[in-house]
Amino acid sequence: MGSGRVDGRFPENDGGEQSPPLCYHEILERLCPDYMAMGMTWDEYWYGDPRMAIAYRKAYELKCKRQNHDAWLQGMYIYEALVDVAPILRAFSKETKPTPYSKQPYALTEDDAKKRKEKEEKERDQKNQATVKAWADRVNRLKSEKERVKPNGK
Amino acid sequence: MNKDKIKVIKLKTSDGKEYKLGYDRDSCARMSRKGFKIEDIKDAPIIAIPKLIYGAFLLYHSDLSQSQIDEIWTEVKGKEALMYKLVELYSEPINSLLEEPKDDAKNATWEVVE
Repeated sequence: MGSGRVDGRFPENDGGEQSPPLCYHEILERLCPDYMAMGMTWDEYWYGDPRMAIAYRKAYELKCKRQNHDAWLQGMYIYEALVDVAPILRAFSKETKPTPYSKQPYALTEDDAKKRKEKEEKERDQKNQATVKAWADRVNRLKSEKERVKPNGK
Repeated sequence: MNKDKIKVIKLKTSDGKEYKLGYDRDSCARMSRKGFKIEDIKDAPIIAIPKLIYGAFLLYHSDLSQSQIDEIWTEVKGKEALMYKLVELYSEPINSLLEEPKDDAKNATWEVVE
């Protein structure tokens, strides 16, 4: 199944004339290795619930899609790594350090993306709060120092 | 192999015995190797129908003789409807391998035009 072309399933004789149609058992025997390649066992294929084959075929399609997606994703990471390192590879470049590679993998689901965004916002807020707090501490310290100096100045 | 989930027809005879009729790929292939063709039901029913019936007993009652099966069959009411059901069950092992996609929005459509 899968990559097999339809004409591969209906072989023709050398002269180009069509072979007689396959018998039921010949079709079953011919398709058995295809389904075994999809992960079905011999017993499941021959003695199991016939509808199992539908689930195996759909699962195989999903697996192929996922593999394709994984390959694409890996390509993306390689591409990004190349882009990050590219500045130092350029001849006569003054850059001495590559752009740091992404600290975390891409968010694959919307939920992941949302959580990551929330986390980033939280970190940014904490950083801002720390900056404001540091500034307020500095102001308070200066103020108290000033007040301490005043009585002596009198 | 667990055969519990294979679609079967339950047949109860007058003496209270219960028989399960059905096909898996193995029994279908065995029938086909012995020359059974589903098209023959229409073209040569006298030969094909008994073969379809004997084949239906292969899965769970392979120890039954042809005469015993014949005896059971004579008791059956609604033979024609049961025959249709057996044809449907016989086709399932292969239909499940060649089934067309159902829920794909890109399915091609067809119609008969006069």
